[in-house]
Amino acid sequence: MDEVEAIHRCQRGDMDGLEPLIARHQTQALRLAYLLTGDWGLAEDITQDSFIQAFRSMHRFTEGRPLAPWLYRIVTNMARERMRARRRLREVNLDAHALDDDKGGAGIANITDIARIAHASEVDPATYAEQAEERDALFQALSALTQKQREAIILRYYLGYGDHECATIAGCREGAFRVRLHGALQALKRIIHQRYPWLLPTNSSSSDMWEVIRHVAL
Amino acid sequence: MSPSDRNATDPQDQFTEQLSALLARTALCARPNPDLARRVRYSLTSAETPRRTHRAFAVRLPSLAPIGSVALVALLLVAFVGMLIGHGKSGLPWQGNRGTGASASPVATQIPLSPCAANSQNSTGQSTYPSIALAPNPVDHSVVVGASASDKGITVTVDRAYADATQTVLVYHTSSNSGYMTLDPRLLDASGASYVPFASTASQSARHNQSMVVFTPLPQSALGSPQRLTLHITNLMAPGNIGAPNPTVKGVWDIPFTITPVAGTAILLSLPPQTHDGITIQVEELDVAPAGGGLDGQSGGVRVRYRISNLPPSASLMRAMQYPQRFTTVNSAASSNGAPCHNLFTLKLANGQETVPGWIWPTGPIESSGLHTQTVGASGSAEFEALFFAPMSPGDATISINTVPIGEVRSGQPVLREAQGQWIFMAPLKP
Repeated sequence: MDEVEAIHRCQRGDMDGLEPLIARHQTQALRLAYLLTGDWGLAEDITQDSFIQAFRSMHRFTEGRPLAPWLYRIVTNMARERMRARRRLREVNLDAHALDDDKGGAGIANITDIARIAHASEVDPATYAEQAEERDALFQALSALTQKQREAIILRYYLGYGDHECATIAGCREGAFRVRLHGALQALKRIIHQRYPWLLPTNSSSSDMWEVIRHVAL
Repeated sequence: MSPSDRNATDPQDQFTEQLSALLARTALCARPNPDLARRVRYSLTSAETPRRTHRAFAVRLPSLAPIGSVALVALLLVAFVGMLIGHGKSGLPWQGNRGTGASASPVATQIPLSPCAANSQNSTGQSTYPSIALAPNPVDHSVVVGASASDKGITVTVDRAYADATQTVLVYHTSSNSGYMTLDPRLLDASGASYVPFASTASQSARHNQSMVVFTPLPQSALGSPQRLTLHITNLMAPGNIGAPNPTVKGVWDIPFTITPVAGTAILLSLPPQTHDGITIQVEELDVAPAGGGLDGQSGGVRVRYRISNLPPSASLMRAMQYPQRFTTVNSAASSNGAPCHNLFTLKLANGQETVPGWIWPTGPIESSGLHTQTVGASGSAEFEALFFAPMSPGDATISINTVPIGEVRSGQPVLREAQGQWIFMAPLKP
């Protein structure tokens, strides 16, 4: 079943049309959610809920357009809501013993998951530990941005979309997105250079850390 | 402007290109769930939407001690450092029923069944898996230890400890306000067997400089009598140093102390083994931790000892443990291992509550090369213990396993398959 037929089926309320769409788009949707939240489990929830939302809203999808950006907008909005709710919950629960070190709490990598993931993945734990350190630094740097700045970075530099698509997904005007992206990039660069200079070295002589990083086997 | 139009030597371009590569590398860690379509379909057709929750925040905050302000910096990689250097349990023999047990206060929580048990949620949107407040609590059952060791100018003090059939928990602090946490702690018993950690938290607050680590439990034979244990640490790290080039402090901190693990109820089972798709599973024993135990004074749990047989000798031991596992602490997002959801290992209690293991671990010794390379061996048989954390309600419990993941390396290539079946065991749970 091709994507057009699958969309038509979903628009008719036929859930059989959803499965090929999930098969095609879930990986990227999950990875987008993961980068937006830094939380593996939350990313899975967001992905699941995004496809549910997409099915329910499919009648509003305009035929002839690519599905992916429309879906990613749902994912981005859902991630935004969940992160906002998470910050709200932490504020409500503040007391004398509050998370006073938690600066908004958005997106610190759930390191608890890391070793369990390594447990499940059979990756050499030493390699996984190195990769985990890199991931953690990235998520800590991203968490220092606002959620919208984080979105801008990920939409542009992970998904690789242009200004127009990014603005559509982010739900803002193109000009506003460019300004947001510029600010985000400057902020991120400053944070990385100040706190994690080894993460994105500016010259090849300081890239020794990268030599030992190996991809997680899929 | 496309990336190809830019001058690659421009520092800005170099930064963004490296950033893109880093984001892509990081994103690779998120692997798709093959069960997603089924879960989505179920959600659309059922009245309630089963989902995992990550809103495991405290409803018992007023009872939390200061360490309730811990940030979520659980470094479980310590468990794998332990695997690499080959420490494991000595496999002390199991014994029959013992222990006085404690009466359980069943928590009546009705949950809808979902295709993936790890996504179960009740009608209020709360996780049905109770959260464990890993914090010293004035009413908890932990004991004051107050034992210390010093090296490299840092003193590590074990403040409190608690042990039962499902966990050994230590609360410790370091002399420095940086809130150092252990990277590869091991717990050693008098026989030399070591126990690996599967959860830990650390406080990033200079004010609340306490951390906690949860180890796999002592053998059933050790419960109820004083045990001489040693917390063995060789690496400390301040959480704020995660991104630093040299984030750890190496040394040796050996802290001996004595604790009497709380004995619950051990139930030796005589259930017949079941064979499906050529693989045999036998559930051998339940070791129920008393309700009201643990550091939050409320949680309980059970250790399920089971054996898988007729596995290929070259089958990966770690692969055979690959089931969704979940260990939720108050004030933290729920932790899970992201394992494929269709491999299910669940415990369903008499009150209808269903849960997945918080941890699974082999009972035999771990080879020096590490668990990730260890195979089942010539016997084709391996024994595990699965730890479930939840208040146990009395009555018949149902232990279900729907697949057995089998991983081998043949001609240098990984070969994966899943033995299909429904291994279901009913056992009387007597908390």
